[in-house]
Amino acid sequence: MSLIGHVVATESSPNTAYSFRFWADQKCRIGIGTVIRAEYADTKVFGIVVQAYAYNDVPGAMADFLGREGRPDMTPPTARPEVRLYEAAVLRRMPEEPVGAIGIGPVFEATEEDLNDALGAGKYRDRGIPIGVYGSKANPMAVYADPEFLLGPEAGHLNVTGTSGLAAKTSYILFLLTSIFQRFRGEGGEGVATVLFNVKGGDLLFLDHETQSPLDEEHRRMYSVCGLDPKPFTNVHYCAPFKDEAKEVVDSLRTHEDFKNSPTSGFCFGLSEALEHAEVLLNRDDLDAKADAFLQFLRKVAANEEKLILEGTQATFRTLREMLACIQKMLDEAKANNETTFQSHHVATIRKMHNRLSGFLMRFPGLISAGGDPVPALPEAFDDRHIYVIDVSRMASDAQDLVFASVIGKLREKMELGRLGVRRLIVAVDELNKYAPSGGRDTYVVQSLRDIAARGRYLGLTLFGAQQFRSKVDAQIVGNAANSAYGHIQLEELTNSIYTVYPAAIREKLASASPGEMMVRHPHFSQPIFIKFPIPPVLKGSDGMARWPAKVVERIEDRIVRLAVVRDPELKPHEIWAHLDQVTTPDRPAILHRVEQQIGSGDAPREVLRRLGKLAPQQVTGQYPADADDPFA
Amino acid sequence: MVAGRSIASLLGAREGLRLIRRPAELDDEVFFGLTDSSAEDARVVEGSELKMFAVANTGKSDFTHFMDGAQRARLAFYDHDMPGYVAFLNGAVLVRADVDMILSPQAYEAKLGVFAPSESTALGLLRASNEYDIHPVQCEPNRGMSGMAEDVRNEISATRDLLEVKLIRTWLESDTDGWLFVDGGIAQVCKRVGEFKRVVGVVKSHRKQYFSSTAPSKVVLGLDEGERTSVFEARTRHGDVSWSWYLRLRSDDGESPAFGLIRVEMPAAEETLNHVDTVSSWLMAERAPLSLPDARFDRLLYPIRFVEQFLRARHPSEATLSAMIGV
Repeated sequence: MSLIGHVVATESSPNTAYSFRFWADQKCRIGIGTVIRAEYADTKVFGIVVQAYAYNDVPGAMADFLGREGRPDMTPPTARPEVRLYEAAVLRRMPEEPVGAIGIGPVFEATEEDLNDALGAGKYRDRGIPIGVYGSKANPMAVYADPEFLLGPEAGHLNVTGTSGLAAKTSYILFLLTSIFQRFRGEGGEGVATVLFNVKGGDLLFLDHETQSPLDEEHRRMYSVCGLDPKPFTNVHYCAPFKDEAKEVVDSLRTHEDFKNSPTSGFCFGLSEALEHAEVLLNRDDLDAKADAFLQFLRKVAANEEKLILEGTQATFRTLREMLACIQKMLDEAKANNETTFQSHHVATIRKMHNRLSGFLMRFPGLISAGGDPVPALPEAFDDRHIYVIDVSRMASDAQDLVFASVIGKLREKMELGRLGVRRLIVAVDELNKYAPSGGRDTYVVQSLRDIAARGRYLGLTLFGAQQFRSKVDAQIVGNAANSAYGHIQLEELTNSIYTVYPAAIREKLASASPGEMMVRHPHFSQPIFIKFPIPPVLKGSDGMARWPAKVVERIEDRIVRLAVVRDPELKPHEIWAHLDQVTTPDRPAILHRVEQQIGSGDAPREVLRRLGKLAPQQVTGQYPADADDPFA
Repeated sequence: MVAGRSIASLLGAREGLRLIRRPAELDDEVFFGLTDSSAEDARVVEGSELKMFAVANTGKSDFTHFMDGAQRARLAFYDHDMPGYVAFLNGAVLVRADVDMILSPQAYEAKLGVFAPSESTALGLLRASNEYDIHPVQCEPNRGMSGMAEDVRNEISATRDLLEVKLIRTWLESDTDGWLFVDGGIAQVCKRVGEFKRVVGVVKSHRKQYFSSTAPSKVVLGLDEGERTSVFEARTRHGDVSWSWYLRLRSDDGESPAFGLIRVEMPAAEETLNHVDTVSSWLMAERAPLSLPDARFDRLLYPIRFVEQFLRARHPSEATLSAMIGV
C-alpha cells in the first residue's frame, strides 16, 4: 500500500460525488487509466484517472522567456516546483451509501485487492473470466469479467472497436476465447463453443498451432496472473466453400498437404439457401416488388408450397440448374401462347430474374451448387470447447455476404429451437460496419444480428462483434452489447458524438493506444478500465501462411481457359466461358475434364469448344450417340 | 483636458531627469522617505568613498538556505475605540538541494495570537480564558483610533521580526554548512561586530537613505544593471550594525529609481569584504526564475518568493479566522 498523493478540492474546483482531483508526487507512475484509492473518514473511494495536468508557478510564457533571458539552455539556480494534478472518476465507494461528494484525504496506489474491490469482482472473482491485466509490466494484475454478464444470461455480447491493423481486435478476441475456454464452468451440453469467420488472409487458419516464437517473459507473466495456460486451441474445425462444382477442392488458404489429417472441409449451398438469401446477392435495383413476388413464387415452388404447371404437367425443381431450366420453359411457354405473363408474372420480370439467377452460376461456382445437393458448413450440434472456423477469405464480398447471412440465419434458427448443443455459443463477426451498417437497409443479416444482440443472451448465443468504426454500426447491435472494448481509434472516428461521453484525455489515449492495449467496459465496471492483454497463444496467420503456403489449385474452367488461350491466342476468355457455361448436365466435371485433356493433347481449342456447344443441348436430351471425340461421350 | 505638449517635450533632455514609463507598484512614495537632511552619510568601509563596481554574472549561486517570515492579520474587534487583531505569524528556513527547493523545512516557527492595546478590557477577558496567546500593545496616550491601530500592526510586525530572528539565530548556532539568504536586514541578528557568518540579508525597500550628500547619492541612483556600490556601515535605529552595499539587479531604464535596486547586508566583519563580489554575483544569478506575478519581481528573488508561498500556504483561511472570531 503506497501513499502517492492527496485529494484537493477548492471552491472553484470542488469534488463531486463522481469525480475528484488529487495531486501526486512527480515520481509516481500515474497516467490516464491508473486506478487509485482515496480515503477519508471511514470511506474508501476507488477512482480511475481520466485527466492529468502539470504546471508550475510561472504566470505566463513571457515570464519564463524573460526569466531564462531568452536562452533555452539556461538553468536557473532554483527550479520552479511542478505540480502533477489528476482528475479521477469514481469507480466505487465503500460503503456505497450515501453517494455524497468525495472528501479530502490521502490517495494510495491501488493494490490487487483494491482493484478487485473497485471493479466489484468480489462477487464473481472465483468464476470470473480474465479479460486482461491492469498495472505495470512488472506487477500485472488480472482483471475479471463476470461470465453471466459476458456470455449471458444476465447480460452479454462484446463489441470491439479499433483501427484495422493497429487495434489487434482479432488478437483480443482470440485471447478472450482462450480465457473463456479455460475458465468457463460447464462441460458437455453445458459447455461453450465458437464460430469464427475468417475474412482476411490466414488470420484464423492456424488456431491449433503454437506461436512461431515462444512468448516473452512479459506475455507469459500476463497469462500466469490470469491463471491461463498459453496453449493453442485443441479442437478446431476449418471449413471453406468448394472451389467449383466438382466439390473436390476447397477455396481456402489452408490447403497444404500437411493438413491431410485435419483438412479444411468444404461446404456449398443448395437452391433453398440461394433463394432464401437471394436479396443478399441481388442489387437493390433488381429487387423491385415484381421481382420479389416472382422470387417468392420460386421459393414456394421449391418448397412444394405452390404448383408450377409447365406444358400441362406439374414441374418441380431441386437444383439451381433445374430451376433455371424451368424458368426458361416459363418464358418459352408464354411466348408460344403469345402471352405477356406467366402465372401472373410478367415475362419481362421472369426474364430479368432468369438473367440474374443464372448469373449465380458464374458468380458463385462452388459456393452455390448448380446441380447437386448442398453440403452444410456447420454441424447440427456444436461440441464443447470446439471452434468452427468458416474461411471466406478467398471469396468475393457478395459471396461472403451470402455465407454470413446463411450461417447467421441457421444459428438463429438453432437458437430459437434450443439446439445449439452447448450452453453458450459465441459467434465472432468482424467487419460489422459492412454487415450491419447504421442507417443502412434493414436486411436479413441486420435483422438476424439485431435479434441475436437483443435476445441471444437468454438463449445461449453470444455475439462477439468487431469493427473499425463503431459509430457506423447499427445502434441496436452495439447498444445491446453489454461489454465493449476499444483499441486504437482514429481521431476522426473519435470526433463522433458517441465518444463524447469520455473525457478528452481518454479519447486522446485511445487515439494513441498500442496493439495490446484496450479500454474495456463491463456491466460491473462503473467506468471503463484500461487493460493490456498478451498475444494469443496461436500461430499468426502470416507465420502460418509462410510455413504452410496454400496449394495453388486452379479450377478446371480456369485451366481450360488458360490452355485454350495458349493454343489459340485469338480466342477470348469470355468466349471460352460462354461455351463452358452451356454444359449444365450433372456430369459437367467429367465433361470438362475431357475438354481439358483434348485441348491439352493438341486438339484445336476452337473445334473442341464448337463440338461442346453444338452437342451439349442434344446430349442433355439423349438424342445423339456417344462419339469418341465428343467430350460429352 | 489634454495639454498641448508633453512634459518630456517641455523639459527636454536634462541631466538627472528621469521620465517614468511605468509607476512602481511598491514604494515610490516611501523611497528614501526617512531621509534626515542633517544626517551624515554612512561610513564607507570598502575604500574611502562610495564607488560603483561591476559585478560578474557567473550564473551560479551557492546559497543553500533561505529564510523568510510572513503574517496574516485580521481586525477582530473594537473594544470601544481600541482595535483588536488576530494574527498568524510564521517563518521558515527552506533548503535548496541542487536546484530543487526541499518542501520539508529545516526550521519552521508559527504563532497565532490576539494583539490589542493593553488597556483593552476585552484583551483581559481573553487572557483570563487561557485559550489565546495574548499580546498587549503599549500605545501612547491620545493616539486616536488610527494611531492605536498602527501601533498594534507595528507590534504584530515586530513580533514576526522576533520570530525570524529566532530562526536565523538557530541556523547560525547550528553551524550548518552553506549560506543563508535572509529576506530583510540581518543587523539585529549579527550584534557582535567583527564576527563573520555565512548569512546574507537582502533589503528590498529603501525607506532609509544612507547617503544624502550629492556625490554618493548619485552613485547609488546611478547604478546600472549588474553594478554595486562600495560596502558601507548600515546602522539601524536601534544601533545594530551590519555591512551593506547597494546592488542593481535590473536596469532601471525608464523605471522608478528603486527598480531592481536592493541593499545587501552581511555581518560587520572584515571577512565580509572578501565575499562581496561573490555574493553579489550569486544574487545576480538568483534573478532567474522571475518572481512574476509578484509586483516586486524586480527585487524579489525567486527562492524568497518560494518561501513566501510556502508560508502563505500555511496561513489560516479567512473562513478559519472568521470562525475563530465567531462571526
